[in-house]
Amino acid sequence: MIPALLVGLALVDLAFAAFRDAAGRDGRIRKRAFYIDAVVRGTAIGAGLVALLGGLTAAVVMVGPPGTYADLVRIGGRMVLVYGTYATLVLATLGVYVVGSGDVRAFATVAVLGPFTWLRVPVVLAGALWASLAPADIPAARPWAVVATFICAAAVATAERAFGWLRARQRHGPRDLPRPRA
Amino acid sequence: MPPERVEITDLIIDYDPETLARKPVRKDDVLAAMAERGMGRRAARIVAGLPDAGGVLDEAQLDALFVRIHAELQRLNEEFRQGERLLMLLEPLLRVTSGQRVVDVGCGLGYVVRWLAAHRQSARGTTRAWGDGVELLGCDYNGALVTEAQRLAEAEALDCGFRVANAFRLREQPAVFTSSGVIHHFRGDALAAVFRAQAESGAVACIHFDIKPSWVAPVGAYVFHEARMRERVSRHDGVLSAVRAHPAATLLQAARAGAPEMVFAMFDGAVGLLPILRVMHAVVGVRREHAAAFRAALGPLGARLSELS
Repeated sequence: MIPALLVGLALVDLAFAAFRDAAGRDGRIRKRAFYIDAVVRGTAIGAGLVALLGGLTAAVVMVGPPGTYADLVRIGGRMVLVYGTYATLVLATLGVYVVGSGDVRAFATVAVLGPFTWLRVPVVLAGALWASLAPADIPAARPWAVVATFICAAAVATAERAFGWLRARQRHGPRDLPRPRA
Repeated sequence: MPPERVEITDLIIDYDPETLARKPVRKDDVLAAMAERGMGRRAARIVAGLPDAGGVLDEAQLDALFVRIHAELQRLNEEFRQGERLLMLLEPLLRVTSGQRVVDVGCGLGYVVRWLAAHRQSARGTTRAWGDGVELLGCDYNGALVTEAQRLAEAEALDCGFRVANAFRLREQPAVFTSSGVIHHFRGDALAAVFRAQAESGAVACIHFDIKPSWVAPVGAYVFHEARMRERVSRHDGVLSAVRAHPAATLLQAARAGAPEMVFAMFDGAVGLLPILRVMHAVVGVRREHAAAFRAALGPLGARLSELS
């Protein structure tokens, strides 16, 4: 259950990261298809990243001492608590933004959506840190679990920058805004 | 007293005020001007990193940078529903003044003008229809932004136009002037001069939106620009814009001094206990003869407009 929840949270987060990476790059007024395309591509890349991190975690479990998986689940439980709370608040606010009008939308944006985007990386890293401080049943397994935890957290936290880097490496399509040569 | 800090984008590009031709800008001159204004090392590093050729800032690269900056700004305007916000005031203004032209001053990529054109297109034939026959025009000094705005409008077959021009010197008589986030670039006597030029050009009304200064505005601007903007220039200038935004009293004083033939009021001018609820305010002006009809046409929205005088 815990691994599945973490995978779900990571995929949702990466989909939003892909949206944010696309935002502000296309000047058209009607660009729903552009955003959908960006989110679909971002989610697909995100799924690949999550699979890679899953493989890495599996390798850590195999190489690490007995109890590493149980320790990862213990840490993961705390991470779900932090990231789940964050995601629930953001998604609920997004719902308010979508159905609300005028001032309600402005409030949702100013009070939550903007600041929480700004806090995303610190939340991801602080969540991993707090989770890593959970009491350990098998101390020998903890270093292995912590390393896997931080690799996964750092990868997800920096995904938005990675999307931007990937975009910069791609050949620009007609929708992309002009960019000078390096 | 040293001159005040200004946005980097105000320093790295320069135009001849008469011909609007671009003038070469030396990086060293910009850095010296910034040092004189006490703009700090971060701003200096940003400018130092801009591409140049023989010490002169590279125009083509700056053009590309400006387009990217304005695309990011458009994203903020989309998020804060700037088009809808303007239309709330513009539609009743056009109705009571029978205005036939809207001119957006310093239009950048023309987001607001294009949004209005797209909205008008989709509202046609519905109860939300407005502005049939009204010309939508954006003006900016920056040719690269105007070219991109025109390209984007054509890509979506939008009924609007863009020009490299001084909006106050158009051959046609504009009806309603609008702007978003532009008015704080005019300081001191230049602010009143804007309203004078606007009135002399035959405007029947104006709506100039800008960030509403408050204790929380610079903090909010910092958070938002860090969260939403990629360009370092955008992040720097966005915060400075919030710091430099004119208070309502300054705007009204300058507007009334510059254009005594019009009456002015602030829309969403009160800061109140929750300045994060309404982060923009607008100075709204209208010819005296239309003032009463405009207020009546606003309906319940009139409660957010101060006294027109």
